[in-house]
Amino acid sequence: MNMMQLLNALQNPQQFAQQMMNNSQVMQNPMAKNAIQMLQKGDSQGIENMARNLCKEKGIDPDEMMKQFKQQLNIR
Amino acid sequence: MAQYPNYYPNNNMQQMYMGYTPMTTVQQYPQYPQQAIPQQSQFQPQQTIPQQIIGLNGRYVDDFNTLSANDVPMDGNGAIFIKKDKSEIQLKNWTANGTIATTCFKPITEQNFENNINMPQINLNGLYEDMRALRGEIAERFDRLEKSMTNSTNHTTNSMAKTSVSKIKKETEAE
Repeated sequence: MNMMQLLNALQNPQQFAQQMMNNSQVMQNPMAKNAIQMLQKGDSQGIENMARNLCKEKGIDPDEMMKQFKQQLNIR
Repeated sequence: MAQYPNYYPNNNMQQMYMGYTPMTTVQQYPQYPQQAIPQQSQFQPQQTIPQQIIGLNGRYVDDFNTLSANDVPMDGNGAIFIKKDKSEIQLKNWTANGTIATTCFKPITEQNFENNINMPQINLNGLYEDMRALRGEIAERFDRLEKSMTNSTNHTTNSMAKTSVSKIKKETEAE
């Protein structure tokens, strides 16, 4: 997924979630499926917890990663 | 010795081969007809069938501590890591909430089997049989007790009847 697709996803998350639901390859992945379901429900806390778990497993500081992500998108 | 005409003025080899006929040397390498030459352009491209990788993700490791999250594929399939000394196998896969679940498999050796024998185990069938036997014994004892009580009651009644009869006899005799 490139940056443009990511931006479109951020602008319209519901549409993005619907597109991903139609992708069989994505829905076979339990983690992706759970993330999309939480996105559809609007469970932001669940998504954040998943992101934090992922960062913890990979040895990444989630706050630092969020900071860099915002810098890349020029978001304050 | 007659010398052959020098058909090849620059070729000194002619003088070495005395019975050499020049006609046979025009074409030392007969050329194949063009139709017989296999041409790649006439071949149809073979249809490449995408090969599906059939197997398991994972590898042999010296120590499980060397594994990282990047070693576990995020496509939903787990990865199997086998310790080189065959003492343990770990199956790792990403869960739906973003954590890695690890399942450990250890072989059952003879030593482990002996240790399991010493562990207390509940034999339900044997326990049930023991309960049945105990119940039967208790019932039998109750029957004996009941009989003995009945006998003793009858004996007491009879003895009381006998004494009363003997008293009556004595009284009648006394009269």
